[in-house]
Amino acid sequence: MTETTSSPPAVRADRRAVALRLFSAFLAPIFFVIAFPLLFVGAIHKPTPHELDVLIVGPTQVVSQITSKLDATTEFHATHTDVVSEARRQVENRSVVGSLEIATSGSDPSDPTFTVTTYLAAAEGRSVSATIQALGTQVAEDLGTTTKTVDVAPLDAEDPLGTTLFYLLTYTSLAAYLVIIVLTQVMPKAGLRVRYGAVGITSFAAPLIVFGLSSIFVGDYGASFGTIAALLGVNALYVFTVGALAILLAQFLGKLASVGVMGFIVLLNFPSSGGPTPASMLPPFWQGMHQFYFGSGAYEAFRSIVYFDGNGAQRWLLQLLAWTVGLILITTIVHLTQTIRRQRLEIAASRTQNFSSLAQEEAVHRHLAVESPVTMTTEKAL
Amino acid sequence: MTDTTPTRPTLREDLSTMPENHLDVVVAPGSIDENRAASLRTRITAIISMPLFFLLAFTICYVSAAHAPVPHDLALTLAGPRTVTSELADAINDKAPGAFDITQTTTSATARDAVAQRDAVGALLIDGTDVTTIVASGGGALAVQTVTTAGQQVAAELGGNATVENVAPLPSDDPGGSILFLFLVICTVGAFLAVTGITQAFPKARARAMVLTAAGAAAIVPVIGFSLISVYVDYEVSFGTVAALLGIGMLYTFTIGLIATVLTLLLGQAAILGEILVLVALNFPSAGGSVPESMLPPFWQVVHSIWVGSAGFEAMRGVMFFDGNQVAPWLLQLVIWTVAALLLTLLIAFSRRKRDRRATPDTVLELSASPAAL
Repeated sequence: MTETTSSPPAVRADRRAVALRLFSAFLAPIFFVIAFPLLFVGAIHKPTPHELDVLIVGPTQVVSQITSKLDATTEFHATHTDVVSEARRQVENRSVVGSLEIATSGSDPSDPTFTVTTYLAAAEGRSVSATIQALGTQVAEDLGTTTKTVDVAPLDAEDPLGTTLFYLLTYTSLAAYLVIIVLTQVMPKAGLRVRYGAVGITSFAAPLIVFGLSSIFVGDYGASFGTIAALLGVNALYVFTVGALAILLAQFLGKLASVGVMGFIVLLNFPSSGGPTPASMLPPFWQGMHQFYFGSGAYEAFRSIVYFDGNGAQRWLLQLLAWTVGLILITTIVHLTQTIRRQRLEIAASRTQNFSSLAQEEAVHRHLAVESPVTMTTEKAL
Repeated sequence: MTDTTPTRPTLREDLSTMPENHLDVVVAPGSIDENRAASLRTRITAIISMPLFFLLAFTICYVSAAHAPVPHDLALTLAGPRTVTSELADAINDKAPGAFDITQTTTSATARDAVAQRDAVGALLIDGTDVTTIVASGGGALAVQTVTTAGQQVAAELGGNATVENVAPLPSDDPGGSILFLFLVICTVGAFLAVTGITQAFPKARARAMVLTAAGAAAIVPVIGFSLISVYVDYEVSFGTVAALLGIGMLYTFTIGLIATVLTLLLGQAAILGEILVLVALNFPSAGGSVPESMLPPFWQVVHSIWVGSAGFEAMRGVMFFDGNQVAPWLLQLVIWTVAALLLTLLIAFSRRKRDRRATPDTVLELSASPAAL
């Protein structure tokens, strides 16, 4: 009778192997189903202003009280000035997301007539501009007047929702990490140089492809060649950064890198970027993320370049650049450490092998030494 | 003594000894087929083609569908004296040709019902010079904005005031109405990742294992997804409504799992590309979630009228915000997809089995204890 059943330890090993494969099969979907609602939904479900920066401009005796009242709320962080030109300038240079210019007129100082002008920037996000608009309407109503609204950074007619820059960020991220994930699968032993080479090519190609295809539908935002070149340049830097993070995740997580990518590049990065929900409307945790994460660095730089003549881009570009440099350094250090560790192991293994070879050789020599007279005798006899 | 110091493989050696896995996964680990070796050309094609495919599919589909939503045949009901509504209808059609599909009635109740029943996206009730705009934010926030603007313009034209009445409001925790769409995303991605995962961990998995995985995902994913969404969003609906939503979610998740199964059986390792095309790039923009159907470009409106995601999403919307109105046709659309996907799965599985039997006539096909034969 042939034996068809495995021995118990083999069965146990088989079961362990199956369990491990099942775990690896369902790790990604389970992680997604749990993390996506917790992170993404948590970030964007109810956009509410949190410490939204507004400037109230006008005579101190009029605006100081309004400012204090607004600043006392959790919704607004209000400051005031009597320099009228600041109302427009600070929205244009992104120091604040909106401002109210309150002017008084009339011959009777005890019963002045108020004029309220609301300065906002649609490019800061629709929910932000709607909040500023509502604030202007409310303040004007309190002062017994209506407000005139000035949009200092309107969205392009082909991008009325302001989503296409976020698409640019999202899809180019996808290209950056997919290249590394596919590369690590088809060439698992590819060195750091090859990986960075692939990321470098992707950071050049992906922005061109995505922007080129988008422009069929969206056009060029009516921007100059220089503006688009700057946008694509920042995008290339971002793609390189995402690629570098994907390399790092692959170094640490190996085959599980795709789960890390989902966590760090999709679920933490996109909601905090300011794209789906503007930063000032995010919950405090996500506002904290927005202040230092690489996605927000790129996205806010995009916004500044396309809609604010580059105002405020520097601070976000530095944030992105810090990630780029940091990630290059860390991936290099990790690579060197892993290489040194591997080489040490290999040297140790080769030493062990050499020792055992020497020991074997020695044993053979001894054996030959003992055996040789007999062998010779036998040979002679033969 | 021979030199046993190990040397690091060169790039060329690397390329010639690495296993082929080019269309494998983005998502599931441990999927390398160690028995196959790929050429340099295959590897480079793999590295370039998959990201390029994603870029092309996502950029073209999402941007073309959602970049600048404008009304296309948006169903609008005008209620008021016939002479007034006729004049207004002509004026609206002249000003925005093709934007609205206008129906006229003389009774306000009919117009209000049309919106509540989802026969119309919005309605304008004309009472003298005043206009009451009937909207349903549960049907899509962008359409509400368009209808409200139309109401304001008509009121300004008539020299009266405009007021807005919402017959299907969104919950206060989700004023943008995007979270139900994210529920659809969770059901979709959860289902096809599970099927992809099982086929990558067990490359020889049979159709039965994939269908069982789809069923398992259908039972688990909507429940986990909605429970976690509930941490943030209170939909203020009854248990029965939530149960109906979960039921639709389960049917939808199962359907997605079956479609992923069919694609895997047909395309093998390239199934991920088919899944991205069918279940993401064509499915999400056309669902009516990020942009409501009435604001989609004509091509996407057609896709919406036949696709699986729109069927699931509009049925969910009907249950959550419209007391179940108009759920039946969308549910029927979804069931057609389910049945079609199930039939295709059976057909492919049986034809494969037949082919295998023909190929090995003397061999008795039996279930192996090996995990690969799941």
